[in-house]
Amino acid sequence: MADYSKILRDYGERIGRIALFEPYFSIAGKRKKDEAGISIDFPDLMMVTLLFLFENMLSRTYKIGIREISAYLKEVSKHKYKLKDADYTELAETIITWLRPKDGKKNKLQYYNFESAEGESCEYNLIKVIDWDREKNVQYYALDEQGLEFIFATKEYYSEFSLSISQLILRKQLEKGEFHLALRQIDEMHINVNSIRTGIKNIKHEIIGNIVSDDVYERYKNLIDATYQRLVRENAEFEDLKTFVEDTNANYQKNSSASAKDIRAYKILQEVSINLNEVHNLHMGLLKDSLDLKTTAIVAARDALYYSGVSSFNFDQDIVKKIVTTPLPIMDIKDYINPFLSFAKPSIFSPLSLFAKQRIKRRDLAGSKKNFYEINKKIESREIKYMQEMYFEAFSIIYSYLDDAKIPLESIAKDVEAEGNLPRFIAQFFVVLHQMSPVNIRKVIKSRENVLSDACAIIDPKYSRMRAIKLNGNLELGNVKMSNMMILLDEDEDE
Amino acid sequence: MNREQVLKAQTIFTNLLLNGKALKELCKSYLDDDIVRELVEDFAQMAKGAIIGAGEYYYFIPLTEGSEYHLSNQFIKEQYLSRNSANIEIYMMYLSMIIFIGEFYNSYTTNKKTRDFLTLADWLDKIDERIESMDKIDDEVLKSAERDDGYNWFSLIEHWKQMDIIKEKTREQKNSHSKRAFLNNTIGFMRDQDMIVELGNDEYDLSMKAQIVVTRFFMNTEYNRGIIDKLYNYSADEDDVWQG
Repeated sequence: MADYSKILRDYGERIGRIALFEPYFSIAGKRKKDEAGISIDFPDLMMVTLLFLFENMLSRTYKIGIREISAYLKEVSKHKYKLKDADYTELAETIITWLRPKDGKKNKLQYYNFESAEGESCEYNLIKVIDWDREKNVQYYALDEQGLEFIFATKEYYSEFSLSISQLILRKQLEKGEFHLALRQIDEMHINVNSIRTGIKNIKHEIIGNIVSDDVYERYKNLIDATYQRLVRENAEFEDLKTFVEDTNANYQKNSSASAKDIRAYKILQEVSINLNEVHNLHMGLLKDSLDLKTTAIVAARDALYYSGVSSFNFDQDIVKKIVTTPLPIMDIKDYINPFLSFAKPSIFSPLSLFAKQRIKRRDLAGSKKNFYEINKKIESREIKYMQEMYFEAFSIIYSYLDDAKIPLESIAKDVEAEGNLPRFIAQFFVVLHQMSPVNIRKVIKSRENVLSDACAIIDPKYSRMRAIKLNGNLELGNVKMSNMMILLDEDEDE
Repeated sequence: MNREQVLKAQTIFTNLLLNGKALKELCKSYLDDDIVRELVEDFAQMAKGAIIGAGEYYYFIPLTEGSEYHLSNQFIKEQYLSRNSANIEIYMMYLSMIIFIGEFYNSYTTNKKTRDFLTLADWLDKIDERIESMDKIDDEVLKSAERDDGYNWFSLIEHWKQMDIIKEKTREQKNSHSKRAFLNNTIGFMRDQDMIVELGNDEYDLSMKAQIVVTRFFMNTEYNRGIIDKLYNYSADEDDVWQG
């Protein structure tokens, strides 16, 4: 009987590959027509956008924002659609948003994993933001790892082997003398190398956060070893290619006639050689990176050990005994002790406070209404008397500025000195009056309980009403800052 | 152990403690030399803290509020709220931060990030959602949970709802009192603490530091004290967590 047990192996990975195509097909649901009524094909334009981003990664141009994308969309589709510039911008925005949703969540595909017999989901992101210009508020985009995978998947090669494949293609091209194509192939290798580098960087981040046990460490160790082996293999191929280019070069020099065509080919070959060296150098950097990665993994594993509470340092043993048993010169003791002495005390926030025990807010019990104490009558009348006197004093000064039934606070402010309580009372007088405005002068004089009654007594009896109005602007009155005001006096209209 | 190692350890630790973080590049001997490393770890332990590495930096993280080096509440108020804010406002900041971080994970038990960034508006909605679902719980249950957990469940709900009311009554004050302004202050705080990275206008991502703090501490019940369970399980599993 046939063995079916392996049919479903790596089911999730397969679905992951399919998911890469999800945005391409789903954006077909978008409807929009151009000015001539032709419906716009969004999947096409998305593909063009992704290729545009890819091409810019090839040429190492990293400042690709909405503006650049929409310009390119216009360039390629101007014969097909009739649209305005603003429409192209909108198209570019729609596509970018589709690839990178506005809510920040990754695109997600839900599926049932037959291998694990569980519902699972895989996330995919074809593009990422690589830079942000805060002043212009412009984001710059590039393909994410999965975006590259998408591009590769549409041309029959897989990203893991893409570098090896590129190397193969390059060799073929060189053999055939297609040096122009070879140059382009080298550019592509450049991208391959960069995406390996990103991969290594990501693993590094993962390792720092994730290694908590020996098991996990072993798993990463295998992954790192595999990466390393691959890099070594690729490196060997690079060496071969370099020799090959050198040989071709030598051949050319020997056999070529001095025709213009040959000279041009020779020049391009030189360029190939230089660029190839450059990529090779980058690649060698990766070898070093992957070695670093090994160290990181070991350090992280050690970190994990430390956190499980292994502590071989013993204060008594390592510090105290050392100082006491072999009597150390006093200066050396100082060095031992130094670390334990206090220094400037810093304050550092602990993210753990998010979960720390909190002081529980006391809530008022039902019966505890706020009570106001009754003011003792005697105290009250004494207070009023005092206020009346103060306002009287303040107003006698204010009143001296009376000019054509008006008293502008501005003119008082110019003369008043900062010292003493007087500026405060003048200011307070204006404010209180403003609150009570308009004031019926005669009534106030009669009332014993009004704080302004003494002050009003000095006003020319021809005036019956007094009010304060607020003017624009602020001013300083001694050491008091307040808005500009004016007092207006009105004559009784009936008399 | 020799004099040089002790000095190196002390330099590294001082540097870490004074700034709360230190470039890994400047801590080479912490990586290379076991003795130095052990010494630094011990210093950290004596200061009731831990050292974590994230991205380019090592960070010193005080492990309890009891640590002498912990940022004082008064400082947080003065810098990010207002001088005479009540403690509940700081706690509200903390709760908002928990919800912010929670948005990046399916649950606090997996460390795979599920989004690239969060916007302020979405964040606000999520907090509203959480508060709303907790608000359905009986007041008495909440109040007794406050005492048991040492966590201001009831007051936090009240406080969050209150922010709305102030906003509606006095329109001209909404800039200083609205939830948005509050969350903006919290963003400022998280930014200063290297907890978030800005990817664009109103696009906030968790920093490496935050991610590592989450994996190393927040997923651990010893540190999250079951607060996360109560916060998130309620809507999934309406009765059990709160009654039990």
